[in-house]
Amino acid sequence: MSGWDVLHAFNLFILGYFFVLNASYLVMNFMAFRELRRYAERLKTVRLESFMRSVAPPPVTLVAPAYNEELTCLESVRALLALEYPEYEVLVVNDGSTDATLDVLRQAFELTPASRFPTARIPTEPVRQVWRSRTHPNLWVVDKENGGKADALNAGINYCRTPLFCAMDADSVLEREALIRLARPFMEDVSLVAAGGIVRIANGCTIRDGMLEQIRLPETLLARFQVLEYLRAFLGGRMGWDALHATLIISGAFGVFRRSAVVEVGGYRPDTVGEDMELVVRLHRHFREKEEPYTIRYIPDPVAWTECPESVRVLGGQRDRWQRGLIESLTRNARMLFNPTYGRIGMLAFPYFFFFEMLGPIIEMGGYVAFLVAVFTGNASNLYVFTFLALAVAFGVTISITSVALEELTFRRYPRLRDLLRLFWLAILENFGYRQLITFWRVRGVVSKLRRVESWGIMERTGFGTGDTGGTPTDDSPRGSAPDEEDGA
Amino acid sequence: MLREILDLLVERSLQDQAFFVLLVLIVLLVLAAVAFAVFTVALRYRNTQRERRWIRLEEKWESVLLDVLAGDAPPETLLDRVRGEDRRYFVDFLLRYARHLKGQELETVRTLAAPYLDLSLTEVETPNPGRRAWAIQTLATLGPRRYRSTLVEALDDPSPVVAMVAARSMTEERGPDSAREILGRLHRYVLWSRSFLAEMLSSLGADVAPDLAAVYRDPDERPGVRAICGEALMQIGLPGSADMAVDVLESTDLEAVAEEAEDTAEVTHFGDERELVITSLRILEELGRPEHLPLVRELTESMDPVLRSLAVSVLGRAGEPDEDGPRVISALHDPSPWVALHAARSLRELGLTGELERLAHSDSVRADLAREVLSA
Repeated sequence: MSGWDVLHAFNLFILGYFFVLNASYLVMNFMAFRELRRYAERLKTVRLESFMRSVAPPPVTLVAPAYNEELTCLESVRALLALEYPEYEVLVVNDGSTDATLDVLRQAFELTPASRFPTARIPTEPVRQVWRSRTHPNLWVVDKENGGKADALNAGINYCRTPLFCAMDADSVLEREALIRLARPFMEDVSLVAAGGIVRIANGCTIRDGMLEQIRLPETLLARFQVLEYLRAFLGGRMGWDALHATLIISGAFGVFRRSAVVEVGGYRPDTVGEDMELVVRLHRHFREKEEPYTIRYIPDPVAWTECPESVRVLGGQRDRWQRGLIESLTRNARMLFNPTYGRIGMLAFPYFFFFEMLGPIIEMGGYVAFLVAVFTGNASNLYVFTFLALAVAFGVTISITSVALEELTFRRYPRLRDLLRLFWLAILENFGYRQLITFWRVRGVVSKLRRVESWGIMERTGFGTGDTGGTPTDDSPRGSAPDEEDGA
Repeated sequence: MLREILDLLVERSLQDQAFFVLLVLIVLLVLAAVAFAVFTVALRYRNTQRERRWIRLEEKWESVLLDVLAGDAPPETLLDRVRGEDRRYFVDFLLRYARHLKGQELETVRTLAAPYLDLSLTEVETPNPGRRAWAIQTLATLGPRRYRSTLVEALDDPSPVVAMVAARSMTEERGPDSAREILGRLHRYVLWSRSFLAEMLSSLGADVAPDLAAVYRDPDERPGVRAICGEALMQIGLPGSADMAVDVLESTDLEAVAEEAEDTAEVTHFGDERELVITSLRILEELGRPEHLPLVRELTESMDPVLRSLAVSVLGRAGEPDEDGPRVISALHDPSPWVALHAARSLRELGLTGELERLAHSDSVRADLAREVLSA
């Protein structure tokens, strides 16, 4: 077999791999469609106000880790305090911020030193002081040494006293009914241990006093591409996996967990940058091994709005980190791969994430290289090249457009027709550069992982609804608590 | 034509055949993308039109409805404005109002809806559980008496959501009859949170307390169902509940329950017997008196930290400082932080803050706890 035969065989493999991957995305979207319709119908019969009036909703603690969030923390905390929920506490964990995050909170909410007894002993970096608001008795701030987002969440869990806690980012804004929507499934199914909501891009939207006033697409192309990516990931991918009862990811930006379950598995792992996915995988593993009934769900209508990167550098760093987090989550629980003990998680979801999400970027990049070699050495006809590229674009566009259709079928958050048409245009445009860039960053993430890089990267914040440009770098710590989201594509 | 193409393809090389397949796939994908895009825009157009139409209809009906509700116009004035194709919209419109109305106004809305409710009745037969649930909710809100038998049948619907919608709607109507129908089927709702179910039952009011008490005390009933009824009794605050709780505790093998809970391994499902014991202790915490405490004192030594916590709380609420103080002080140093937390609160309730003061000024790991409870 000559080198050219090998190259040819590899190209065929890439073609097959690419076909299976994209076909699975499409299938996911169709499954999501069915599930979303069912969910939307069910939602019609649910009267949130009756849930609100009743004494039944379990108390919830919102754990919001904050690292250098001086620009956004006020809006976010105000939004948290304005949530519609009968009984909840807000626990902001200041993870050793080097900016004025704590001062901003102290002044705005009249924080005073307070005692609060921890009810769990998950190891964390030392807590310096616990603060409580005079103006809002349900607002607490735990000030601790920097230890990263997972460490901050663990500190929050240690101080949590409610049966449920909500893990979120301090720079995210929850919609007013988001918490009741996400807590409701815990009333309907006592075996539920974790549920994740949808994360949407806040760039371009107007948020005042913690309330979302106007929903618009972001101004920059980079952020708009991410809107489309998030729609694909949350309305297509996650809903599809939920339909299969195989949810493997709950976004760190917004998820509700049964506290006892998370304490039982030892909380978040601070030595990973993908602590949110790693926790969910570990919960699956734990309950499957103990053969205890449990459920982990994705709920599509509770919304957390979050700011996404608007610069290539920051976005690259974010995707690099997500890829590393994915690798860590999967390799640390590798025994689940094709292991029937773990049911459909081990036999379906885990292999999918392992071979398509984790190894996908490497294979895809290998494909690009082999493809280029074949083209430049004259081993691929122009027609073949054109056909392959056309197929790639056709798949990409169709998957994205079905995701936009899912949005229109269900939640219709973007009220202007112009925004809808822009999303279609973006579905075409993203195939020429953006997707390849994302692949490159994900490959870089693999390389970073091999080089044992543990950086969180930098997040530039502009604050919500200000329309300001030129953000301020606010997260340059090696273990900062930057907003976190999994693989969007 | 297709046959000719296929014949032609068979004669070509494998590479050409593959190329053809790819080409067909591309065309199909492009067509699908275009179809979805058109579908989405059409959907947007239809939704916008619907919304506009809905607003127009609402405006047309709303002012007349307010007149009818105020008694300034007869119901016919509004009914005359409902065209045949708008009947479903009209029922939905009334449903939205009915949720916020009570008394005579609600009855007026029900009278207005009556001619159209058979439309919803036909929906009860559809295989789609979402539509069935919606229909049941409509009938329960706008025609609870006329469609009572349908609602009772819906309690046995194969879809748990439909059954729950029916149960929830019936509890809003109140009355012992509804309670009996629901109580007989409580085991169908095992997945729902017990506090949710208890709240649903207690919302029926004190009239249903005897039925709840009967189930709570019935040793032949499922322990999980008894626990729900016990919790509902607690929420209603029936005076004899504490005596019943003691009876229930005395008739339960508490050691076996504690052993079952060893290591608090079961995070998602407490055993049913354990739930029953927990509920009974919570009743005593709310309604207990000193004469109810002998067994509770024993439970402060239970292997199960949840039972220890609750027992200590009961002592804080209903105990005697002299007799129960030492037990509660000892629980301050329990290995479980939850037991310690409950103990600290109980000490404050018993008025024994001296021990907390001492602890607060010590270098004990529980000093923070004492300070917190003292400053609360």
